[in-house]
Amino acid sequence: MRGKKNILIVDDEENIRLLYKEELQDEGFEVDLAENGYEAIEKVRAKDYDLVVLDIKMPGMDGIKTLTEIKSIKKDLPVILCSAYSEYKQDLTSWVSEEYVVKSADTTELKQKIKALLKI
Amino acid sequence: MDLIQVLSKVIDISHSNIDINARINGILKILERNLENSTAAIYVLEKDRRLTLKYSTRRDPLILALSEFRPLLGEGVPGSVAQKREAQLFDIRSLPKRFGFLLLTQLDKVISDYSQFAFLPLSDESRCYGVLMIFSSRGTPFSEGEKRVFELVSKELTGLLKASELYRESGRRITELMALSEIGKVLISGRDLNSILRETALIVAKTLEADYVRILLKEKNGERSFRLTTYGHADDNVKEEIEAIEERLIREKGSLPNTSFDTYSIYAYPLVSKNVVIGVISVLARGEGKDDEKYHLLETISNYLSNGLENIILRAQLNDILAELNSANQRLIEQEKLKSLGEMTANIAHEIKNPLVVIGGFAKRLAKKLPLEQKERRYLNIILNEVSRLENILNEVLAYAKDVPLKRTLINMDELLSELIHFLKSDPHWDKVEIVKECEDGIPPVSCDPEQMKQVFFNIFVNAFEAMGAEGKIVVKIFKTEEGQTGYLCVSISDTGGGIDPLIFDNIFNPFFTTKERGTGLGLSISNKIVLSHRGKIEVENKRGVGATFLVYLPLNQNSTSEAGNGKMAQKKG
Repeated sequence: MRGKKNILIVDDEENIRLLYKEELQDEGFEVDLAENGYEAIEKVRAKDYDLVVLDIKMPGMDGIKTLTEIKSIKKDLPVILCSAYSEYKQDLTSWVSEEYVVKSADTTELKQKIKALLKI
Repeated sequence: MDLIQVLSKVIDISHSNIDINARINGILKILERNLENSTAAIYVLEKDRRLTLKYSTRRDPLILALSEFRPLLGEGVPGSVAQKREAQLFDIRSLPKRFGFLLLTQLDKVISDYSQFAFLPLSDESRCYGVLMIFSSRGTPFSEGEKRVFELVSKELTGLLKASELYRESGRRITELMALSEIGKVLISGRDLNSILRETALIVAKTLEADYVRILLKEKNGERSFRLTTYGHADDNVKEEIEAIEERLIREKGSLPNTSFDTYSIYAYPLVSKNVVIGVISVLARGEGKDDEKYHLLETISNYLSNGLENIILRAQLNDILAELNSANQRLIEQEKLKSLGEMTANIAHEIKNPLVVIGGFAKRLAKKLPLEQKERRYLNIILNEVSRLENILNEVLAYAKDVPLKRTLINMDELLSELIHFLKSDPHWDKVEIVKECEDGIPPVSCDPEQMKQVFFNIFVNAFEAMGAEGKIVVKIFKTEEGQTGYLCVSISDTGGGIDPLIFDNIFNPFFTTKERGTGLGLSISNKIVLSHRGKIEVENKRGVGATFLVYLPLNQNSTSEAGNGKMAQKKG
């Protein structure tokens, strides 16, 4: 069995990155951070992640563009989109992301979905 | 008599500046003064081809008897003189019996006061204006000189009668023009139809010296509703009479009835536009019998008014449309405002969301990681509760502000509501709420977004629950209805929560309006927005003290693809 699962968190807000990192590390994940789409794509190219948590609203290259780019590099890499907009829920089934979560102080949903995708 | 002197006096008076009637009477007096024991009078030929005794200077018994009778042109001696325009002179023996008015027996007693009778036509080449009569009690017949004077005086009198008629005619014309000009001013005043009709009624009353004026106007072509404008007073029986005339005039376009009472006459004339009777103008005026001048005046006014009103009515209709357009525009502006407010709110909400997640997230970590005393843990719980409350508000705001595309499928509404009711009743808080559902037979499936419609009904149910204080009865009915060409499926949800306070009734669909301590005020406005995007509508029936009923209408047989908000607002009924 391989060691810890690697998760890349992409968010332009430093404190969100910190929160998610600590929460996921508590769950036993290896966590890398990227603060924008370009950095995320570089990291995806350089390292084999098990999953990406991707914020939608970011300056420059937004989450949707970044998602398309990531999927063109690694088709099977699961991505969870997350945003403050709950209503994206509906139309995102047509997006190529595997999951969607609404950002919340309660990270239970995020953690559950990560585990489900990683079959833990 | 001094013929030259008489003639010069007659000509003096005839050409003086005094009133025409006074001039005519003055000339009659000169004749009487210069012919011993004589009297003179004038029969005037009127439009109805009868003679009226209009001028006389003495209350002589024969003159009084004649003035009570209006002979036709050709009737009796005066009538024949007027017709033939030839003078006739008689003495008492050659005079035809009773002047030829054989039925006028009262003449027998008074004719014998006189012995010489002269009847002179007052006429020119074109027509006859009247007959001058000179009666004398002297034995000798009128001399040739006197006859010559009579002839010359007749010419003067003819000129005066002609002038008098002209004056009267132009007086009438001036009255008519003044009335028309006043009405014209009112018509172009740009005021609303009601005040135009009121003013017009007043002008007609003034012009026709009427006690009561009614203007009845059809509201719209082809509809049996009328606008009634009245001026002055009339007895109820007279009003009934006028109503009957109006009805007849509207039914039989163009017939012109006139009704005369003992002391009043009714004049009525239809208002016609493009060959259609659009109304009736009726006038009640003092005076027995029909006054042709009044009738003619009313006719002229009616024709003028018909043309003017047509434009006014068109303008009024245009104004109605403009007002409607204006209010639609106003609504649109309001919606735009709300929309931009919504967008701004969404942006703000989005910006707040991230820091809130950070605060809440780390507070949670604190609660988890630090061995806290009980007191501090309570503080942290308060922070966490408030964060989650704020998060809920933000989620609702964001949901309201963004247009969510509809995912339509054909839905069995009865099943959808059963599911929702089952879900609600699984919450023990709802134990004291009875929910009864009735579904009409043969309800077809309706095209809608089931998740969004669940939210619509959920919001209404929750409001009902709170209005009833968690205890009461909710009746749900599903039925079909029609409005115009469109068939609707309607879901009505009635509660026993005492109804909505009328003071807030107008606000219930407005975003951010709430009566709840912890509400966002978005529930009903989201419901309304969703139903509108389905091209349906929500109506509210409010029974104060009993409860409120929300009626949600969804169009049936809908195959439309565009689902943008269609600008209709929710409707409320008191």
